[in-house]
Amino acid sequence: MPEPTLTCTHISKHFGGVRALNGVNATVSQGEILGLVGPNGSGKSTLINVISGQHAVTDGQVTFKGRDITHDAPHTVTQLGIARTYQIPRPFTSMTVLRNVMVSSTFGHSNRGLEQARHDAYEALEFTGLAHYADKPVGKLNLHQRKFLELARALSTKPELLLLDEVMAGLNPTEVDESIKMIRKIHNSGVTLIIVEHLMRVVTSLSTRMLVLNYGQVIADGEPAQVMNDPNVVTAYLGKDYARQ
Amino acid sequence: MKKWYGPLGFLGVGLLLALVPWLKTVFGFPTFYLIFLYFTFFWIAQASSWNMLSGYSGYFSFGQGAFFGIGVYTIATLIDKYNVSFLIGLPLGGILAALVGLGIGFVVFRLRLLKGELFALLTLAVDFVLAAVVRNSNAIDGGFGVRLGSVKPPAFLGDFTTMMYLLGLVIALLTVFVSYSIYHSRFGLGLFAIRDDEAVAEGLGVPTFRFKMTIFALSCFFIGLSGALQALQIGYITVEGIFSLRVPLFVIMMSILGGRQHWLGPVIGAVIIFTLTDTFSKASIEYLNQIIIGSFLIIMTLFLRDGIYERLKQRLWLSLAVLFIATVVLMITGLGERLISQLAYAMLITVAFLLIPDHLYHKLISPFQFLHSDEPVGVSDA
Amino acid sequence: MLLIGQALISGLLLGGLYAILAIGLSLTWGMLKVINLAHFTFAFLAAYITYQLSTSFGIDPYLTLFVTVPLFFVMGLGLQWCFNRFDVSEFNSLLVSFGLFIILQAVMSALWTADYRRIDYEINPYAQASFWVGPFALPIPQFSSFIAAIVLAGLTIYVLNSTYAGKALRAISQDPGMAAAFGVDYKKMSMLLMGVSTAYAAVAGVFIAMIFALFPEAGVEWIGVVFAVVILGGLANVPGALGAGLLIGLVQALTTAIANPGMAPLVTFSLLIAALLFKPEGLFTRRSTL
Repeated sequence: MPEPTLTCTHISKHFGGVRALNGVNATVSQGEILGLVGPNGSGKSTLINVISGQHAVTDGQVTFKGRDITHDAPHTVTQLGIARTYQIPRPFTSMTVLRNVMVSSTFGHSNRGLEQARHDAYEALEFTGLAHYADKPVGKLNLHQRKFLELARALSTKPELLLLDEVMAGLNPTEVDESIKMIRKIHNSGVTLIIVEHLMRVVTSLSTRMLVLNYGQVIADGEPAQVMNDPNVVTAYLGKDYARQ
Repeated sequence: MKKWYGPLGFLGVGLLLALVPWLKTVFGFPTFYLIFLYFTFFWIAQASSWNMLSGYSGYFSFGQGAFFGIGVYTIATLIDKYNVSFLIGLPLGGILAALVGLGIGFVVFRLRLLKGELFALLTLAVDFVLAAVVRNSNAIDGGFGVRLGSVKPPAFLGDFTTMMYLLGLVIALLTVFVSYSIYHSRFGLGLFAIRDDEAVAEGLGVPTFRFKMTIFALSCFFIGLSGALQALQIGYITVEGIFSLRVPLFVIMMSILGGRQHWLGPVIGAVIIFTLTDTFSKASIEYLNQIIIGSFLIIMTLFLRDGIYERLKQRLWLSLAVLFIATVVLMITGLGERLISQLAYAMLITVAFLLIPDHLYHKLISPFQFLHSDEPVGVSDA
Repeated sequence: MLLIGQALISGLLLGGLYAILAIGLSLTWGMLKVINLAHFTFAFLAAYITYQLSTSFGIDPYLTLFVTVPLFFVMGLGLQWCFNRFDVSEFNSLLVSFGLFIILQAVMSALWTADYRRIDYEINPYAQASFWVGPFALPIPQFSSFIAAIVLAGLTIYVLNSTYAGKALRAISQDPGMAAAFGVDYKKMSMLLMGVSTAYAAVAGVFIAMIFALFPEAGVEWIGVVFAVVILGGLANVPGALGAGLLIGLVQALTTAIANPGMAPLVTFSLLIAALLFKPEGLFTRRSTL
C-alpha cells in the first residue's frame, strides 16, 4: 500500500462554542477520488478550508507528501500542489476570463513570468472548453461556465490534489453530466480528487472511496457500496427508522 | 506592444518637458507657468502614489496626509535643525515614510478581519495621531511651525523655480513610471486579484501579505518623496497646514475622477482638477471653486463610476478634437483671460462631453461613423 | 483634584454632544450601509441657522429647534432618496456625501464668511449660566445637550426594539430582500431613517451654536472624533454610541487636564486604532461566533 498523499490526523476545528470538526482522521492516496459527504453542517466545507489553509486548526495535523502543512498559508499550500474550487464561483470581476486564469497560472505553481502564464492559462481554458471566452469579461459567463472557470483556475496551478467543493450545486441535469465528464477528464490526467457533494448519484458513481461526516466526526470510510449501506450513514441522513429496514 | 516602447515613451515625454525652462528663456513667457507646471507634477505624483495602493490593491487609504507629513517634516527638520542638504533630505523623506508604512502594514495586514472601510478609518486615525505627535514634540515642530529659509540650488540647475520644476518633473515621471510598470507586471496582476477577492487570490497562490506590504511601502515612499520636495515650495510649515484633510481629499478625488483602474487615471484626474482649482481660486470667488469641485465629485461618482479614463479610451479622438476646438475657440474669443483658464474651461467642456450617456452618444455620432475610434464600445460594465 | 473633577464633568457633558452626532451616523452607516460625511456639515449648517435666527430675530436658541429639526429631517429624506435613486454603493456614498460636504461648507463660507460667529450673550444667556452640584459647574447648554443625548438614545432604543418601524428597520439592515418579501418598503424606511439621522444632527447643531464659536471649517475637526465614537460604539449600536461618546468625552477631558489639549487627539485616535485592530465591531458589541 503506497504512502497516502494527504493525511489528516485528529483534526479539530472550533468556532467559538461550535465544534465544526471533532477529531477527524482521513487519508487520500494518489489516484483516488475521495467522495466527502454528510448532512448539512457536518463539517465538509470546513475540512476543505482546513486542508487548503484558509482556516487554522484548533488541533490536529495535515500532512501532504510527507510535509506538515498544518500551519502553512493558503498560497503556500497551493504552490505545494493542492488546489481548490469554491461552491459559489468567485471570479475576479474586473478581469477577463483569460486574466482570471493567468493569476493562478503565474502564482499557483512555481513563479512564472507573464508570458508563460498566459500560455498556461490558455491551455487550462482549452482543457475546460472555455478558450473562446478568453478575452470576454467574466460577467458574460453563466453559472456553469463560471464553475468551469473555477476548474480552469485550479488546474492552471498544476495541482496533484484538487479539492472540489460542491461543483454540482445549482446545475441542471445536462450541466451535471458535463461536469461529471470534466471531472473524469481531470482525474484521467493524473490529478487526485476530493469531491464534496450532495448529489448522491454523482458521488457514488465518481468516487473510488467515500468518507462520511456527521456533526464534525467521521462515521464511515470505505467503498461507496459498503458506505451507503452502513446503518450509521443511513441514520445520519434519514433517521433511525430507515436504518432499521 | 514591444517592451521598450513604454520606457522610451516616458523618456521622450520627460525630455520634452525638461526643455520647458529653456524655452522660457528663449520665448520669455511668465515664470508663473513653470510654477503652475511644478504644482501639476506635484499632484500627479501624489495622486499616482495613492492610486498604486488604493486603486490597484483596493486598500482604500485616507492616510495620505500622514505620509505626506512625514516627508515634509523629515526634510524640514533635517534642514532646519541639523543643517543637512535638501538633496539628502528628499530621498530620506521618502524612505522614512516607507518605513512607517511598513511598520503599520506589518501590524494591520496580518489581520484578516480588516475590511475596506476600517482600513480607511485606520489610516485616517494615523494621520491625526501623527499630527498630534508632531505638534507636541519640540524636536520637530512643537506647535511653532518650521520656517525653511530659501534653499540655494546648485549652480547647474539654474534658479530656484527652475530647480523645483525639474525636480518635480523627475519625481512625477518616476512615480508614474513605477505605476505604469506595476500595472503591466506580474506584481500588478496579483494586486488586482487582491482587490477583486483577496481570499481567493491567496488561495490561488498570490502571496498577499508580501504584496500588500510592498505596494504600501512603495506608495508611501513616493508620497513622502514628493512631499519632501513640496516642503521647499511651501516654505513655512505648520502642523495644521500639512496634516489637514486637504491633500488626502484632493488626491482621492483626482484618482476617482481620472479612474482608479489604470495608471493614467490619476494623471488625468490630477491635471484636470488642479487646473480647475487653480483657475477658480484666481477668479477670487473662493467658495465657487469648492462648489464646483464638490458638484464635480458627486456627478462623477454617480454617472462616471469608472472614471474618465475608461470613457476617454472609447471616445478618444473625438474627445481630443472637442478639447482642441474648445481651447482654440476660447483663445480666439478671448474668454477666460488666461491660457490656463481657457484650458480649464475646455477641459470642463470635454468632461461634459464624456459624460453624455452611451445611448445618446451613439445616436449623435451614427452619421459620423468614420470618426469613431476602433475600440469596441461597452465591453466592460458587465 | 477639583480641576480633575471639573474636567471629568465637562468631558462627560461634551461626550453627550458627541453621542448625539454619533447615533445618527452610526444608524445610517450600520443599517443603510451609507457613510454620510455630510452629517457634520448638516450639524454645522443647523448651528449657523440657529445663530442666524437668534441673532436676527432674537429668538431663544432652544426654540430654533422647531425650525431646524423639521428642516433637516426633510433634507435627510431628500439625501436618502438620491442614494436610493442612484443605487449608490457604500463606498460611493462616502464620495457623494463628501462632495456634498464640500458644497455645504462653501455655502456656509459664502453666507457667513470666515469670521467667527457666536450668539450674543443677551440672546443666549445660557452660555454663561450653570447648574451647580457642590463645587462643580454644569454649564446649562452642555448639561442640556447631555440630557438630550440620553433622551434621544433612550427614545431610539425604544423605537428600534418595540415599534413596527424599528423592527422593520432592523430587518432591512440585515436582509433587505427578505424584508421586502415581508412587505417592508425599503425606500420609505430608509428615507425615514436618514431623515431622523439628520434631524439628530440638527439637534446637535443647535447645542453647538450655544456652546461654541462657529466658523466654516469647524465641522472638519469633529469628523475624526465622531467617527472614532461610531466605530468604538459599534455600527448601529445605539447604547454603544452613547457609551463611546461619553467615554471619549471623558478621555479627552482627562488628557487635556493632565497633559495638554494637543495630546487629546493622540489618545482618542490611538484608542480608535487599537479598537480597529482588536475589536472592530466596537467596544460594546459582542462578537458573534462563526
